[in-house]
Amino acid sequence: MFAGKRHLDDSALIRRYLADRGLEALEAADESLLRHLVQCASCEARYIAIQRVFDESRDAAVDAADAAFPADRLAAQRERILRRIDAQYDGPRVIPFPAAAHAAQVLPPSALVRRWVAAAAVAGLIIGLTAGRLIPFSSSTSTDARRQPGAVPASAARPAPVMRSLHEEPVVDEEQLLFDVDLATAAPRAAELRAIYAFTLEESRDIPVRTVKH
Amino acid sequence: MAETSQPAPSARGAEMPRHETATLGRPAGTVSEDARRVKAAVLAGQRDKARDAFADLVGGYQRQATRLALYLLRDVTEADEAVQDAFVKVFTHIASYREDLPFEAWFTRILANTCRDRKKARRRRERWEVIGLDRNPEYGGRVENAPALTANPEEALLGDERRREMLKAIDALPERQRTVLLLCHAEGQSPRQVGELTGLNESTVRVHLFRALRKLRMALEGSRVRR
Repeated sequence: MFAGKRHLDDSALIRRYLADRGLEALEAADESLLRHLVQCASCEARYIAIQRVFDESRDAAVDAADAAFPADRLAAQRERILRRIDAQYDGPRVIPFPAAAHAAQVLPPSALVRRWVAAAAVAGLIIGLTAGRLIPFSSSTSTDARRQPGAVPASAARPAPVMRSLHEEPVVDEEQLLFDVDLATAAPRAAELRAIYAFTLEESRDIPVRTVKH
Repeated sequence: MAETSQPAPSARGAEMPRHETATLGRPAGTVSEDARRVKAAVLAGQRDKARDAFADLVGGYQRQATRLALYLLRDVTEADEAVQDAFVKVFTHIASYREDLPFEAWFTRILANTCRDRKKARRRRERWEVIGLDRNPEYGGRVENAPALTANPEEALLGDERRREMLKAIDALPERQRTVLLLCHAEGQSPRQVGELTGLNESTVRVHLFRALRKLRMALEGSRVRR
């Protein structure tokens, strides 16, 4: 492959370099390469130059990579790794949902009793309302009336309380009113009510309070 | 992979990465020893002991892990998070760690899977993104637009024009070639390991590696000629 008198090309020198570094095995045909290098000073000089260039490029690449990770960065990286390891030891911290956390709590017996009482009260209320709806407690007529379509309910038949203004004319009978007043004044503890009575009476006549003479 | 029941690649052919000892100042095999301590403490239920041993384990393998993740993801933030995820997964599944095999192989497989998942998620995100909108210019979003190693401000520390050119040449490589180059060439992973990490055939990895070096050589030769 390589004639003894011909100079070696770069490919041959690179193969030799790789073989020297254990990265490639030389073939039997390459034996002449070794012989030529020993004999030819020019090729040997070129090989040494190539060797130096490759070695320098290797060192430059390694140094540049090391420069990208200075000592402080490596220290920080190491700290982060150890923190992650510690986190593995401690296990993941699970944050429960509020409901789950509440359910997970062990309640004291008193709280349990309170809860049972509250639940029983609610159940009783519901049962009572349901039963009130289903079971006829009142008279049959009112039940019949309730069951008849279009019938007026008992509550609607009752007269609604009327709010009267003080300035309105009294609707009730005058005789009856006087009778009621006499009855009220004759009753015990009426003395305490007199002032109120007088006050309301004066108010109804629109007389200022301070002009009232007792 | 197939010959072990452990959810990690086989240890055969595993090569201790060049930079682990140099960068971390810890002798090779210490990480596996830490992993064994973590496993024993976890199985014994000794929380504090397990945590301390795991802190040692993280400190011992962290830098190499971040480099690997950065090579695979091309995004500093994503690489950072992927490494965190991978270490947490390791701790979670430490009981299934086979102590007769090196920890590095097991961890690297976990990390690679994590990075792959992140890449897939990123592609899914990008599918729904409107290009040019809501895109953080610092972190890009696309793999191609991710900040190149040369774009990091720390790069200024290199202070060497020649090195910048080299990084530029590496960044200019196609994605697969660049990943293979960085994993094989920079991290010292074997083509077989890289094949397992990237899902590529071992011979494909060799081809990518060879082409990447050749392109790198041509690019650097060209820049030297231009100067």
